[in-house]
Amino acid sequence: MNKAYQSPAYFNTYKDFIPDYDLFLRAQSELPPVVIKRNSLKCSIREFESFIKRHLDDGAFTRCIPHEWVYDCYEVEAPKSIIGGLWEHHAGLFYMMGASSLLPVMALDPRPGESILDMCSAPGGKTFLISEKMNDQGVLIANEPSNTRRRVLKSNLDRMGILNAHITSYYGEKIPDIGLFDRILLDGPCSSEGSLRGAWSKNFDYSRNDEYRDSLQRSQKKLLDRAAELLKSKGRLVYSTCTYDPDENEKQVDEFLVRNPMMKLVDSNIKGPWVKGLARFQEENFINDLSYTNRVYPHLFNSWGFFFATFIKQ
Amino acid sequence: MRHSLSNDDLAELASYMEARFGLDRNIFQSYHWEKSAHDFWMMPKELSDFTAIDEEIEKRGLRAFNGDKKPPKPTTIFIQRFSRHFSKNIIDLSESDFKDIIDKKLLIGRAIGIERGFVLLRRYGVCLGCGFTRGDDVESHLPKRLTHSISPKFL
Repeated sequence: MNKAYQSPAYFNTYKDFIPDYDLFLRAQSELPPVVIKRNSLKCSIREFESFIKRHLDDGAFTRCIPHEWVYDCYEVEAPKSIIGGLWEHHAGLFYMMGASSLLPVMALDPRPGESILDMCSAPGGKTFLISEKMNDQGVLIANEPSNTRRRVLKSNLDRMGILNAHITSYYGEKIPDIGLFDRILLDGPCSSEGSLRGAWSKNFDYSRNDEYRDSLQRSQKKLLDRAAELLKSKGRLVYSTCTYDPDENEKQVDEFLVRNPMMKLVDSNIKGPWVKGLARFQEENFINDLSYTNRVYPHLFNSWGFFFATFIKQ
Repeated sequence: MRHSLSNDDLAELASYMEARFGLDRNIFQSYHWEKSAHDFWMMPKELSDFTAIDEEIEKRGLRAFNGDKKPPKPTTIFIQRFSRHFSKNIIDLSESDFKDIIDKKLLIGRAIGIERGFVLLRRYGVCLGCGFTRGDDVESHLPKRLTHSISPKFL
């Protein structure tokens, strides 16, 4: 049983830059809505609407409305355990995910026939979204170094009927020269503050352990640099995290741009209630203009907290 | 180790699936096919050209057929993925049929008028996987991990 989330003190460091901070804390203490994404590889809009109607009639769902900001998604009022037990879930007609998870894939803008790398792929929600956009054409490398998480990835890709994915088990920063990619998604390891909504997590670093944070940031740096190397000229890279910590977001982007002058930060071109990235944090001014980076807060966009940035290789 | 499926093997597979389940054989031609020790795998042609270090490849494409059986048996993943393309030897499950499957019971009398052998089990237009005829009855071949996880309350 989850204990209610009651630790506003944790976020005090961010009080100066999160807009409407009290509303943010309130949203952070509530569970986010359950969102289901239709699998267009298996299910037409008409079929999906009839599935929704059926479960509104039989009482599995008490409410189901199309999502305002992300495509093909519905906000569902029903316990996750009920949604996860539906046969339609096991047949892969939909994927249960946070609405924020669609944003980096929308920013990535995958196209059929391309070669795309998902560097940290598990549990597979974003990999599914990329493959769906590719419509079975092209190459999708779904990389995940953790054995346990890769098992979940495989199972989810099978359930969704993905057939253009190639699952690999490299450490992201050590992916060898297996080819150059048109697009790369780096939804990297992070402190996951945005996914804390409404519940305690036994794995979460509530004490803000510096050593742990440093190791995460070192990984993010290495992953970003390797992503830049594996990208084709004019290729597109999206970096995303589910955390609010500027050290893992704007600071990473800023330093990455300094280290990799061929990478250019661009507008992600997706509309929604996100907030521009920070120009400074604590005593530090960032060198680059980071206004094209995006922060997603739960009181403005009712999902997990998120950050995403899009780059083009020149 | 995987090898490309020969044209003869592929043609045989396509003929069987067309004859048995009405699956358009052109679907087979649209993909590249590989054979592993036990299974047949499908993928877009571009994916087969992509090379990575073998030890680091966990899975490539979709496991479409269990090749140990004669004729090869389509996997549940394949059936669910191409559900809307099947047109023959399909059993539309009622709610009580579905409950019987979850309770590991035979579907009594549901094979009457159906060709003997593998059949497809379908609910609300979605093929869930295979069944097999036992006289006039049908036995579910849906994977246990699937039937164990489905809630019988909302079928």
